[in-house]
Amino acid sequence: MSNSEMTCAIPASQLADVVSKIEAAGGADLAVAGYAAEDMKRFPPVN
Amino acid sequence: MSTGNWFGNLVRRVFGGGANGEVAMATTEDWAGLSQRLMSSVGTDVPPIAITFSDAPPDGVDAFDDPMPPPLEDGRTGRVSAGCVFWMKSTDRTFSTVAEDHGNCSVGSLTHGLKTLEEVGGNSDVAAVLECGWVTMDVVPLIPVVTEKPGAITYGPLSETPIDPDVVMLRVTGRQLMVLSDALPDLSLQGKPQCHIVAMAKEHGVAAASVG
Repeated sequence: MSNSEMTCAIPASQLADVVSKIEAAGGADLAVAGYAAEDMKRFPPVN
Repeated sequence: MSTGNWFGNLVRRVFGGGANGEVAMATTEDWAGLSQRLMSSVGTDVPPIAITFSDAPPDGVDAFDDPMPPPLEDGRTGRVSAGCVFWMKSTDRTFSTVAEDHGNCSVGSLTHGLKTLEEVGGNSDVAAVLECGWVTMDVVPLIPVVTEKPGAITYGPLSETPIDPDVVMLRVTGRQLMVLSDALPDLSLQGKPQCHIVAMAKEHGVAAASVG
């Protein structure tokens, strides 16, 4: 295991709910990233 | 969807059988599907593993049988240097382990309920982590442990688990941990010793990540 890796233990009985929450959060992350990327275009490129 | 697909899915969900009709052991979830969704949503290509505690090794599951080195003066030996090595070994195959296989690592034996603090307290690896201050004696009794001694612990890819697991273990990068933390506000962020997060998930129903 790489020393840049960490570990996460999830109760198996909760996995379906956990995955649904991650998928929902991922959608929100993409939406915000898309908004930010579009908004950035109003400014000069950052070096 | 055809009737055949519906029936096949039902059989697989109830009995855990494969696509070509073989029947393995009972599972109650589509673990292969959940494994794929977990990897996709977190953004990892490292397969999550299933960890299952049981009274005895499950039928039809191979025992982990790597050789053990000669024991140290305190009697420690095992089939791997530490129990967390089983996390690495089980990303592509399923195997069962017994207490002796974990015996080289006193901390892992403690957190997984395989030995008591009294049994491991005098071992040289415990002395080493205490003497250098990696762990202090005041926190040792507070380390979460599996409370019922298991007869076997089975490891393997979640996607092919033949039995319903107790804990799903995922290796993550910093970015992937951020995704998890974002989605799970109650995610417990832990440090050392690391393997205690398995006990937290199993005994307390808590999703826990370790940065240790």
